[in-house]
Amino acid sequence: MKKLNRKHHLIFCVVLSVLWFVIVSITKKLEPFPDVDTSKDALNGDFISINQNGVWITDIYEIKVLDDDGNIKQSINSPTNSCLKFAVSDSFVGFHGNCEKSIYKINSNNQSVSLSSRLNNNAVSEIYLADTNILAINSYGFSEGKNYKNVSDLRVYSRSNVSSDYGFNYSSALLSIICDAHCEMDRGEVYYFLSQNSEIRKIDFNQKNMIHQSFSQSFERVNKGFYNMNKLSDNEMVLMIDNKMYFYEISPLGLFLKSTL
Amino acid sequence: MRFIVILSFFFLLISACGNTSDSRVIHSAYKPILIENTKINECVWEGEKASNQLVITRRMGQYLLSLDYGLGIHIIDAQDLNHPRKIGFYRIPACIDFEVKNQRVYANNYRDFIVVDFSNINSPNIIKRDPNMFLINIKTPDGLTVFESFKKTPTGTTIISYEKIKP
Repeated sequence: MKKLNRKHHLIFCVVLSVLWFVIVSITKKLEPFPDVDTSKDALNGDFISINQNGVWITDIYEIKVLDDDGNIKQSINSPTNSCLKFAVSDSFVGFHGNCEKSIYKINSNNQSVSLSSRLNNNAVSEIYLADTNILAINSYGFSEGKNYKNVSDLRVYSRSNVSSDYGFNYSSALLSIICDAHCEMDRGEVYYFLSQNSEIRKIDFNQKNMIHQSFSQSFERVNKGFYNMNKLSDNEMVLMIDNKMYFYEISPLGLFLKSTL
Repeated sequence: MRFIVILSFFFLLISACGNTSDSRVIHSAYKPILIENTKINECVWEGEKASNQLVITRRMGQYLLSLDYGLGIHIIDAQDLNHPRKIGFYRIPACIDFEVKNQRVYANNYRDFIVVDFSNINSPNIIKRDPNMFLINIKTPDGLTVFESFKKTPTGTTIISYEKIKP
């Protein structure tokens, strides 16, 4: 191999330096920065709720029960140390904290409330409650790898066969789905929206066999973005996908699209 | 000398390759919506406007109140659900959660807790404001990281919501 002289070395170093700056500048452009607020101890929804006791809010460290005018009636220390979100029904409250996610029974005594011992502790991120012997919990996570596939596991807890107030049966056979799902439940019926298939499904717990009723829909396939479902009344439901609303009538035969907005 | 050059080459190659792994992170398809800090507590009635990202809808009598993430509440006349129509928009900056009870709306206005009287649907009125009740974090809808170009926000502004990046 021919020996390199000083001039060659110099040229080689200059070329290398230029190459290095080009590579670094390209990769820097693609490099993501963290979100503006990366604080984990911050609220991001589901921190205001209402039940028969009043308006419930959490400031992470304390849960406050307010009257209709917004005045504080009672403060309860968060049993989960940090309460980032919760769901409240008339009988139960489900907390989601940084380290612990638990469901407690609410004991009402005139105007004040207290929480019974912990009923359930599981790795849940979203909690939906109903007082008809059913609790549904939607747990959410990310799979490993560069695809960042959403994994949701809608778990349904029933205490219909449990005599004690403090016991819950969890049957994984009820429903276990791998999808990005959101659910809405009321009176023994759970509706959930599958973004993968762009369809709404229903489970009716009033029937002996859990029926996953499928409703074909006309909306476009949804991969990512905002979607949510809310029950508006006993026989009305709305599905929100980004900036569109789909209004449904709930009937014994299923869901019927009434209008869009 | 040759040894130093080769060593430098490998060092530079490794250091450059180290950054490329981050580029595989999927970025958010959304960019922030900003508001001047001086206007963040201005909750005002506006006329009907287009929706951005609807997240919560509640019924209040004949009306539906639908939260546009971080922007405010659309008011929809839904007496006949076959023909719903928007009638207005009540701007509540950085509002990401609300509930309705007896014609009153309980919501967050950025870090403040507010109670809004909606008994006159065309003229909602704030009847209570508790400042700094909430420490909130307005995340991207897809939960992913924003591009660098969207991260640096002008001084005196706050992120209240996100909108989709136009292709």
